[in-house]
Amino acid sequence: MEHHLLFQPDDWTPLAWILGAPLFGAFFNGVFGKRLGKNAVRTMAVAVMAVSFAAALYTFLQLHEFRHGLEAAMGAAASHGGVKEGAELTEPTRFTWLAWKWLSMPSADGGGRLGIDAKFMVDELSGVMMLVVTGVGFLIHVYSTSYMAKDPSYHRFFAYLNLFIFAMLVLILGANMPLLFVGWEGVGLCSYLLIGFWFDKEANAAAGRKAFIANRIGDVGMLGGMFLLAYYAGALDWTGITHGSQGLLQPITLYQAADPAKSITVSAATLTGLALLLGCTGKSAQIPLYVWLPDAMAGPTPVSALIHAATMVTSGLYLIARLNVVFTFSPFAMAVVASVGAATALFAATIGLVQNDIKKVLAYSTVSQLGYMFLGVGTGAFAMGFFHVFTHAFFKAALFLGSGSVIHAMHARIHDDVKSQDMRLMGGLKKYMPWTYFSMGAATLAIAGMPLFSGFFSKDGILFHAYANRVVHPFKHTAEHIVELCKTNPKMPACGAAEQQLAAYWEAPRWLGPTLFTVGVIAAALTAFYMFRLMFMTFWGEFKGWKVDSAAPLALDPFANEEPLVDEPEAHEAHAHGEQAHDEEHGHEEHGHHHEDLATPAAPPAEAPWTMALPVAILAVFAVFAGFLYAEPLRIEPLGHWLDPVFHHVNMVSVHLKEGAEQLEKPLMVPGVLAFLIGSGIAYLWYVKGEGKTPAELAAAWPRLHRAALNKWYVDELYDATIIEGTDALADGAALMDTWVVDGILAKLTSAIASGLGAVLRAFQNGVVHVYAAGIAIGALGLFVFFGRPHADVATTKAGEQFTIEATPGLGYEYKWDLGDGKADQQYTTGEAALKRSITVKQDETKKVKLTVKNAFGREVVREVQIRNPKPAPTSSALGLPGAPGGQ
Amino acid sequence: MNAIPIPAFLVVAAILFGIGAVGFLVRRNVLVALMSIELMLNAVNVTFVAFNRLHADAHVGQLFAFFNIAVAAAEAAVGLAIVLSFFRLRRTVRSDAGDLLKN
Amino acid sequence: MNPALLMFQKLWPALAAGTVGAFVPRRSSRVERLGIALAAAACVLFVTLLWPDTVVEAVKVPNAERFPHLLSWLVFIPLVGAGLMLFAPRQAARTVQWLALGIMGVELLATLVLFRLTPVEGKYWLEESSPWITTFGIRYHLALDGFSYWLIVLSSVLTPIATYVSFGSVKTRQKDFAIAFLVLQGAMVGSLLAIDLFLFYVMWELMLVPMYLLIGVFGSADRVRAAIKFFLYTMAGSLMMLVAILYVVLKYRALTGELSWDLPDLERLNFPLVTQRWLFWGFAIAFLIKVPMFPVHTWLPDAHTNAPTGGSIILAAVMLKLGAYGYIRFAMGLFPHAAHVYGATLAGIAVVGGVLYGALCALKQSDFKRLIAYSSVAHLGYVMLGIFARNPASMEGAVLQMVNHGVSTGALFLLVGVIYDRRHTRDLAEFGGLAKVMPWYAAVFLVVTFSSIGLPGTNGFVGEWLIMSGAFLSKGTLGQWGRSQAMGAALGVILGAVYMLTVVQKVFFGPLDNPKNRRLPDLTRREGIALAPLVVLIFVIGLFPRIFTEPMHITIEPWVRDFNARVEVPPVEQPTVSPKPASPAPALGGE
Repeated sequence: MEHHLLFQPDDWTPLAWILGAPLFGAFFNGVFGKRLGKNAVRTMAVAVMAVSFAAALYTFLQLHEFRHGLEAAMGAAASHGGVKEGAELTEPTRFTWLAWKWLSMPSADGGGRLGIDAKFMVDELSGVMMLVVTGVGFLIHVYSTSYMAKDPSYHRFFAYLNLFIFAMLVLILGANMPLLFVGWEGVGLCSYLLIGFWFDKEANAAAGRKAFIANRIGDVGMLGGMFLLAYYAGALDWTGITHGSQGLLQPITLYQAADPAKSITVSAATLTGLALLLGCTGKSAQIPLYVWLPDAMAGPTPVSALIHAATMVTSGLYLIARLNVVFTFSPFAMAVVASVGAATALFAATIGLVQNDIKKVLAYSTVSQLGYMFLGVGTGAFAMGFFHVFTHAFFKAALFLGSGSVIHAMHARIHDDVKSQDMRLMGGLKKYMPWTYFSMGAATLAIAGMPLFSGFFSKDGILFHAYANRVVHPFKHTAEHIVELCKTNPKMPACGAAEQQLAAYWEAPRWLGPTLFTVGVIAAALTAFYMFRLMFMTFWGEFKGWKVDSAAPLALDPFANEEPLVDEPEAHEAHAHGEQAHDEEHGHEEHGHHHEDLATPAAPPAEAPWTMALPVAILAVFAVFAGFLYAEPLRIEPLGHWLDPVFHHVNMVSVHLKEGAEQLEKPLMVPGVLAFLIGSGIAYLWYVKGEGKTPAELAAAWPRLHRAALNKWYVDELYDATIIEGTDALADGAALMDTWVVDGILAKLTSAIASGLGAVLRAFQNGVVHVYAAGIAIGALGLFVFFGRPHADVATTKAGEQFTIEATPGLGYEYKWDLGDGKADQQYTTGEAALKRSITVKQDETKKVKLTVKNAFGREVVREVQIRNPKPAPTSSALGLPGAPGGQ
Repeated sequence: MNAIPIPAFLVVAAILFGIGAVGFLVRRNVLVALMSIELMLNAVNVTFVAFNRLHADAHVGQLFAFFNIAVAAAEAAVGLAIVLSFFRLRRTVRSDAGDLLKN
Repeated sequence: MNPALLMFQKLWPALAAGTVGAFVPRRSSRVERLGIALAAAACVLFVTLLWPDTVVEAVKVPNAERFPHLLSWLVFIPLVGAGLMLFAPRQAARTVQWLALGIMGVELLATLVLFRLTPVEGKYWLEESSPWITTFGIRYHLALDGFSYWLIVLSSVLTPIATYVSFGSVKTRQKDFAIAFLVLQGAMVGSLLAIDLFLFYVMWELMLVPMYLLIGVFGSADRVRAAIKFFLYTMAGSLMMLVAILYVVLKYRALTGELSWDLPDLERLNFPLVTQRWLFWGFAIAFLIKVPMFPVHTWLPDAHTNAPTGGSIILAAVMLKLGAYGYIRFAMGLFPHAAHVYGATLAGIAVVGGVLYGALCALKQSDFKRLIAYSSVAHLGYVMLGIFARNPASMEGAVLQMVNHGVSTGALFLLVGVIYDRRHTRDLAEFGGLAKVMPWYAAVFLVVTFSSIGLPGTNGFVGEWLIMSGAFLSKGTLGQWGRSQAMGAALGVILGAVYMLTVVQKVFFGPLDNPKNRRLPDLTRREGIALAPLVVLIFVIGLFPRIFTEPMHITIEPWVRDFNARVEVPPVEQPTVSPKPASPAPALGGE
């Protein structure tokens, strides 16, 4: 261990290049891009990505080499010590770079400081992720140079895209939670900006806002998770969390305000895990926060590929993998993660079955695949889940970029944003776009789980582990061990406690694994079906785009009466308006291009330029072969081995294979392969052989079911009706309350009282002399009445046991005292001396004093006073303070 | 000689004062109001003179009665002057026409 | 080493920034470029000089010897300047403008001297004290520490910005306008520095007058009603405070035989809890109205809506902070037990009534300025939560959030003023698609929006983070509710995004369908210059918050420790006075 720390390179500045290059590009393009023109923007954007990728590659190789050296050293040490196979790294290898000290906050008790630095770190996990982000990012940048070529806001697009890469890299490389959160929100921001990139359409802007807000809901979970980590683990940086993670096993009591007896006690790890999961469901589009992702397809297609398929949406996975120790401390949280994943995988797949918008299909497919990843990490197969991130990045990026090429081609033909994404208008494109066809075909085979393709290995790995893994509380084994010992030696002191604890450790029920597996397999079949449906509808058969007149409503729509294609006048107008605005701003270049195409309506859809086709092809190649990085059934596992140190602790302590599960590895592959065959087979039968008749019949047979699936099971409507309407109602209530209650009572009522009083008083100040005179008369009368009566008021002062009673003087008053001592005054007396009397009252004694007063009119009044001298009360120190005894 | 008892004077004075006070409070004619004030002052004069009988050597009561008569005369003169100018301004002698303070 | 070389080594980033600023912008006049270069260099210099490592430089010379009358300068430059302004020719608008800005510039320079102070742990950093009205024991006592430090800087930065930008839109009575601003600034700085309760009260009330005039004279349609509402609300609170002050002072005389209005003296008083409660509310209500906290916040939307742009900026950016500042300094300083007893309840009000309720109200506003006013209520809910949680982290966060709110909301009001000047309406429904015609405006607005909703990397996040995590980690101060309250405040983060992004969507995105908006000009040079420092500050605070929190920390940490120690001692039965501290310099927190 020692040399491990000694040789830790602590200032790995190439990270500055990886991060700095995209940031510089974003700044440069954002500020100067418009002035410098498209060529400069293009060059800059791609160049910074190349720099970033190169630096990332260099870092990765160095990391690899360094780790290799470590392993060799450890191997040597181990063999020296006589142990043969001990050359296993138990901690990730890290390169770090401290940029500057960002924040330093006093810790909970105010004693220490919790330093939160702008510190970046690359280890095995973030190294792979960083390569994916910069690599796929680079390809997508190249692709975008052509895809966006005609857009007037070219510079803005690349500025956002570069900024996104920067934020994503901060997310991945940040060495602590808050820094990850910076990236987390940063990618959310870029996603917001890019979804709403064509902001002059209301729908796009709304989709961007929806995405941001859905993510914000998740962020509350993130914040809560971070606070819990800071409190219980005492740190927020990755190493600190790992070291302090034992603190997360403390129990937390969730008070139930209504019935405190029903309070629930959970471990801090469970709460942390669930809170962070909420954040992850937002970013990684899982139930219940997935709704933003399909809408996010309003952004340009490269954005969908980069952000909403390959990188940003996987950051939730990255977080869970990164905090694997925290999550595995709570088997319950893990089970929730897995269940959420499985449910999402199935749910999104059912929606994907019937969508007609090519990007919507891919969007739901992404949601579904992310569900698989959650299923993987939730069952403790962190490396496998992460591997699916890796393969998914390739095949989904390829699919999205390919669909982008298709849309590009269709748009050149149809000139309508909505229609050019409708698969019912495509078909037969393989003739025109062979490169795209083959690339997308390869990616489809990968995602559908064709054996030996990348998706097959990752997906089946996840399914196997979902079935076979068992996540246990980290102390469970110890407890089991003690209980085991107790059987032979029942007199051990810890026995009772251990048995109790063993019962208290939660573990997922036995049926959960098989259930998750089954759900996963069904979703896999659905995946194969909708992906092949997409391929067949798009590339096979006849090209239907010839018959489309962009202005006329669609005739060939099989479900025309069910879901009219969006061709409402306002949508059309909005588009036309947008075009017009473009023209206004950007002269006539676009205009010319527009008319040219209209003039030759029969122009066939064309293959994308090489800058677009090549990246797709490269990604497709990876999609095919990347599986061999972690082909568990074939025991080719370089990636698994590479990631092992990151998950070493967890694999040792918390995650285990069920007994006898090793033998099931091969048999359990069969359902997966079958799912692929069935799904793709049915798609072939229905869409190629049957030319889409069966689905139409099915839809006609169950119209409501079909419509519900088409409308995404009305989840958006449900959210609208509950959460959004609810918030709206609350806001309405608050606004009304502010106007009528708060302002009403405080401002209006107060001023009403004041002005009412004023009105009453004003009535007397009317300038009529008689009213004033009446006032004088009434006042004089009042005084007369008052002074006509004698008043016997007394004040008592105490000095020890001596009490002095003093009567108030008055006009012509005469006094007669009776102090209760038998020497009562017989005559009235006047003067100073008559005013005061002294009396001695012992402790706990009460005396009566009688005073008779006569005034000038001879009227008398009698007043009796009791004088008590109580015992001094016990000194109560904290009046009313909680815990202190109250005063008497 | 059998003098009239003092309380009788006081009763008369009180009645006079009451008439004056009520008259002042009730009537709106400024002239009547002035006259009511005179009435009240005179009621006070009567009490002064009556009480003077108790301290026959002092003459303080008589003295005060004369002062009062002088003050009443001055007051009547000033009051009438005000009434005159008020009448010139407002063409009325009703006192509630003089509530200009209000506006 | 060669001193010139050393100098260069120190200054090269600033020089580089200056060079870039001078040569990069195109289409600008030479003067403008020079300005940009200077601004860039100054920004970089600011950051490099204030780098955390150099802040806590151990200088042995006490501050008082080096800067004997700095605090008086700070208070009286604007006040005397306002007097000078009386002699400015009313007709010569240029002269009036430059004179006002010049005075504020001098004030800003004086503020910069503050950066050279050596922070003193647990004590006032700089003090100035002399008898004033000896008959009544009133002293002229000014002092500065980590609580007031950044707020003074904030006021010195924002007042010239607000004034400068207002000269673009206020065309009549510019001289009166400038005088009002100068008096306001002097009074604000005075209230931040005054330690003598009498002096504080005078300054506190003095603030009202110019603001009343700014709203009532230069405001929009419903200005008079709004001005009166503003005045009455704040006045009502202040009078209660005055009664409480008098009681405290008289009690002090009864117990010690001498009259003193000095905070360090009065802090030695220990009251029974019942008395503390009454007196605490006397002070607290005045401050909470100013903050403003639910349910006494309703003067704020009206005042903001009707105030001129500059007035709104100052009101939001600096004046509201005085409530929070006063609460810490006086209400908590004088009555620790009562503040402790009510802390958790008030924190609940701050979260539910401020953060959540304010945000929900903001969601429903159709008037641009009203919406931002309600967002102020929400933001100050965070600040107050941080103060009530009374944890060093949350207190630092609260003070930082005050600065943040000043910068972000000041910028937002400025930005609203920009379109108000062009369209003379604040109705959100009138706008749409403005990003097309006003791209720079939209970009700046977006930046400020994200700062306002606390996106990491901007200032808002740092403040909110410190407050919420501080409240979450607070042990004991908020009882068992600390975590719920922190999470409640976190919900406000969602609502913040909802209302601000709704505004952005309504105003900037979507089709440009209102023909009146077709020809709106983008930001003018004046507006750009006014906004630039705010945008820079948003990022400087967001990325280098330690520059700001480190100096605060030196005061706040001992303050909290001291406060907790005071609360742990149970309250007395009868009023007593603690003995004077041994050291001649008065300790910050009393005993």
